[in-house]
Amino acid sequence: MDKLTQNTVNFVVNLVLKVLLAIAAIALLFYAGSNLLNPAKLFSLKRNKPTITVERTPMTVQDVRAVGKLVTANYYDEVVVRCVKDSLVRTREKDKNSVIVIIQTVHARLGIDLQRLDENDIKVQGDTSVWIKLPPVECLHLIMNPSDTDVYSESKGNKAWSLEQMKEALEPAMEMRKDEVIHSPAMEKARQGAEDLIREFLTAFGYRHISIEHTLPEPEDTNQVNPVPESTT
Amino acid sequence: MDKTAHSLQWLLAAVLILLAAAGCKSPADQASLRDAALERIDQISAERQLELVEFEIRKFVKAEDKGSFWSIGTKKILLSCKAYLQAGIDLSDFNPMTDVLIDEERKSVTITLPSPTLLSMDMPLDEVMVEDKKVSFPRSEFTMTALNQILRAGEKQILDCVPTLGILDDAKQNARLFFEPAMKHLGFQSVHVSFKEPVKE
Repeated sequence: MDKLTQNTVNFVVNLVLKVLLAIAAIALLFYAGSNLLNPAKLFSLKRNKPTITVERTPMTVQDVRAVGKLVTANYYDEVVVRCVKDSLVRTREKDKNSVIVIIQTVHARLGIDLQRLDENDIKVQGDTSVWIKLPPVECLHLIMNPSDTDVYSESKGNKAWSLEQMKEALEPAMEMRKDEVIHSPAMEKARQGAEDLIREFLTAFGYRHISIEHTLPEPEDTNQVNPVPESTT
Repeated sequence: MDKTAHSLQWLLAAVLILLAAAGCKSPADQASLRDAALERIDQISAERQLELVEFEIRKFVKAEDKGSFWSIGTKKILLSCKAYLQAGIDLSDFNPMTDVLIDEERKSVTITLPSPTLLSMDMPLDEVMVEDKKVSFPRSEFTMTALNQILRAGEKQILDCVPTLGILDDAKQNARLFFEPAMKHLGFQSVHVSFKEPVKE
């Protein structure tokens, strides 16, 4: 009886092992068939290339606008944004395992919008005198392109970071930069640059007496409160 | 039984090799600061550019991550994004003393401007939307590093298409529309705007 039982156990064990071996062999064949024999994948493997492929797609021009913006100063800054996600379990606490650190380069283009000039802002007296009132210096563009963004480190914790969460992480930093730019010495540099350039132009056109007046920047909306990021340096 | 055990050892070894290979990180995965750190940028710098035209572009970016040779399944994502391109004249190559010719008798002026160029591009993150995403089991979600890599590729595709967009021709046309009325307002009766040959890189 014992011998029979032992034989049965041996048979079952043998059968299970053979089935497992067969499954493993089929899985390996599947791998070999679908991946190793694919030249594109094999090539990318050999070269350690990134596995993401971005298809070339057309683009649509949605709008064309005629502008007249005189850019006279650039402002660059780098900001480190560190954001911790809310915990999925307890909403009041942060999930310390899901941290993203982004190094963001901010580029602001400062100058004046010449389309805001109207006929009353330029007065010509005789052949050699001109008076001009320039529009206020402003931050014309605040640029943070994907090529200016470096995801330095990313730990996902319970769930991967979503694009919306990344936007939320960067938005306060962008608002802070906007505020910093308009209070930076770059604004004065832009104002001086605009004045020098306009003066050079008018001198080239034969004017000898040039009077340039600046419009003061519009007052900020004091009711608007800028959100503060959790941690920025 | 011995034969089976021997086969199992081989199978175990094969699995271990696969796992070890899967654990290796390719250099592309490692975060680096590359380009930005290589160039020096002054925080505040003077600029002399006149933006004359702005194009608003909408683009869909399709990306697929087939994974490495040991990966099972694929993951795909479709993003939509907007970009704002500004083209105009870089006035740092313009000298008003030599590039502006005035004929006082005829009250005419000839301005020779540098050829228009693309001055800036803005692709705001808050206008990027995930339109569709398919991640098959057991693949993991797209990381932010991967998404940023995809958006960078989209940004590059837009920049590559600039010569075919006609934005530089529009900038030329707008330069004439911009300077002619301004010069006439300053008392000139005849205004001629021309452009220098573009500098070939």
